[in-house]
Amino acid sequence: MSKAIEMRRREFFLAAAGLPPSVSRGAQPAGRPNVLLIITDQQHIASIGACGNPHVRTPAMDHLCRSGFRFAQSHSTNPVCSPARSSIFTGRMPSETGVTSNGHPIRSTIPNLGQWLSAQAGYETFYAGKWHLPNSYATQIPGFRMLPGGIGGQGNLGDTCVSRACEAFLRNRSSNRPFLLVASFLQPHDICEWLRLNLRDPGKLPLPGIAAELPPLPPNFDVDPGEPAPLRRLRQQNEPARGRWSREHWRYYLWSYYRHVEMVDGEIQRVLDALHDTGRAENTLVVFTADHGEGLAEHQLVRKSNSYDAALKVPLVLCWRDHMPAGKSDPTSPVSGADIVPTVCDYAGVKPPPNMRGRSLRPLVEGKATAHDQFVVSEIPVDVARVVRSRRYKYVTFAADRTEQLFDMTADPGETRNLASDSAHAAALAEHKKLLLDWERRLDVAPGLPNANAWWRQTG
Amino acid sequence: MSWLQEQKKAAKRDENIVGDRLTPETLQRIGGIPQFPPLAAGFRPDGAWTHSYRIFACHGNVDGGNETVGRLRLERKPATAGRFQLLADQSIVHNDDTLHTLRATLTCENKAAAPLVEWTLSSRCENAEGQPLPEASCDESGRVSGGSVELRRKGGLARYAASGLVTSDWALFAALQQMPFSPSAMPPFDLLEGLSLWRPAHRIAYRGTYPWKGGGVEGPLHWFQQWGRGTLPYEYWLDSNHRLLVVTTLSRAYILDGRAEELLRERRESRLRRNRQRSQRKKNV
Repeated sequence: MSKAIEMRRREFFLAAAGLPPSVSRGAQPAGRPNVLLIITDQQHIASIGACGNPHVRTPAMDHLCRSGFRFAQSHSTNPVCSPARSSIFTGRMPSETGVTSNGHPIRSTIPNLGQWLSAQAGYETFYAGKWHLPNSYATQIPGFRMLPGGIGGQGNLGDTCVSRACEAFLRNRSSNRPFLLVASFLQPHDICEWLRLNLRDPGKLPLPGIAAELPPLPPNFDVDPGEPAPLRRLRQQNEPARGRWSREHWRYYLWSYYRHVEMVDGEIQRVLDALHDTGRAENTLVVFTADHGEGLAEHQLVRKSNSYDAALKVPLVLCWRDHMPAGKSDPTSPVSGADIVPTVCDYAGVKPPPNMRGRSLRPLVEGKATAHDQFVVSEIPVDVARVVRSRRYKYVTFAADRTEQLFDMTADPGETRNLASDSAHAAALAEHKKLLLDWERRLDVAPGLPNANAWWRQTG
Repeated sequence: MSWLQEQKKAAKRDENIVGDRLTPETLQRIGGIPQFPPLAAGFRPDGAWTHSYRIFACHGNVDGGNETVGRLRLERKPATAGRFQLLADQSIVHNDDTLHTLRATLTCENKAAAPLVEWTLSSRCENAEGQPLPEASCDESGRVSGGSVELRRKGGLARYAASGLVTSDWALFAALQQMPFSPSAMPPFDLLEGLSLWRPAHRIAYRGTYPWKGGGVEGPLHWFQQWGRGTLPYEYWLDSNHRLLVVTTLSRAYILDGRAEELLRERRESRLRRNRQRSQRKKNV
């Protein structure tokens, strides 16, 4: 460990112990915005009305998109709940946080956003809803005061208490100190319960009245017969294959998924209304994202845990009234959940924790030239595959399968033509392997990480 | 593992999956149907009555994770001028042992869909030790007037333009009991779920009879479906006396149960007892 890093960690622990190095408690440093971090669970990036989806009604998310700045190429660092969340809250990769699968805690040496903002900048930090690091709903989270509510696997029952608690916090709060409030909703994750409750295709639509409303199947519904074995195996384990779904049942699943998204949109609206009513919209940075996506019938997949964009890409919107352009988006820059901590720290005027794998997105929002990485990496999960996404290409490599995938995401955004063995793209393939190799070598991987060397072996 | 072994393993796994949406039949299969309470003497759907529903959550597995997490108590009181009053009291125990209670008084029109006229609502939380959390409290009120919905909350007023009738999920529990068992259509309506979440463009359809024997009720039930934006569909099953027995939506069910209050209290008290023991153990250490 370098001396510089060691020093920063010492500073962090002193601060976390109640001895902030530079900020005295009680005073609100001028210009620091409040931060409202809204997280949904298992939300497909395109499941928002303002993104042009006519099958879902999402006025709250639309409002955020129209009054904020949206990243159209936002990726999860890992399309599984706990690992993805560990990155959102630390700015580090899951292989570093030690959250290799669901239900693991973040390595104790890595600070989370709540610990960092409270210690470094005097923020009051509050958490409502799903955490999952390790427990889905915790009674204590380091660096946060807890707001009540939440029921594992039942967002339809628990999310209302979460949004009510956030609303009450905002409406009843009298302190002027800047705050970080995390509103972490479970929906639309209840689609997992829906899948178990609709495993069997009944052979006819359970609700005849919605026949005309069923969304069409996506253009990339078909399966590539040459795709790597881990993806084929995953598909066979999913409910549609087990229940031998008809095309109509697939479309009923799509219709139902959008209703789950609409449910959580209402809860978000409640929190945004409270922010607006209490006059805080002008001094609050709102960050809206999800931990990972949902298969949504693309490549005949449901749920997550795979390398296709449906599972990997997530909404990411930053919104701070009068401080950033409204209704704009970045259509091409690859960004990820690891960028959230450095971005929030940038807007809060705080140096980010050491060893960030993400970068502040503020220069992209402000349209300034940036040295932002031109690629992001996702771990699928930690020990199965890696994805490198650059502006044009997406490269996928598997630990236990020699079949690689390379997609030209500009010409083929649906990931339907694997170019890995196409000599015309050999240079791109080599370049992305090199990017991955260099990336993996920089990581400070957690002790005991499964398959820790697999990526070096394949790409080196 | 051979192909055959994999198939056997998958078949065994699927045996434990509920596999079909929640209905009285699937609820019965997973142990969710109690003995329904006997019909109250003189029960009239348009009169005064009190119903308590167990709020049952199902994770989709047959033998695990299905539990009663709360209860909904509805009390209907006839009022003057073609209206009725509905008192709703819903309590849910959360994973962190918070008890979240919504209490509302609704005035509704006594006609199809029980359109909302005005209401008040309070949201209260108790922590894992049974202490109230005043900082997590909210109060609000609302009314429907001239095609517009007004929601008054501390510090703000929200307005929604309604496309037609406006009702709430709780009011529908009462309204369904007055619906004829025939395909006659209820007009479309907008739903204010929990009296606060705006869910537009809903419809209800009568789906006919539903063969049933269980929980002390024999004979076909009568089945309605509701769908629209913002929620998963709701389905309703009533007995021949127009008494609403079971409501399902997604993975939760409201089941008429004379022991609903007692079950909630037992769940709450057992968890509070466990928390006290845990904190005592911590003190001892």
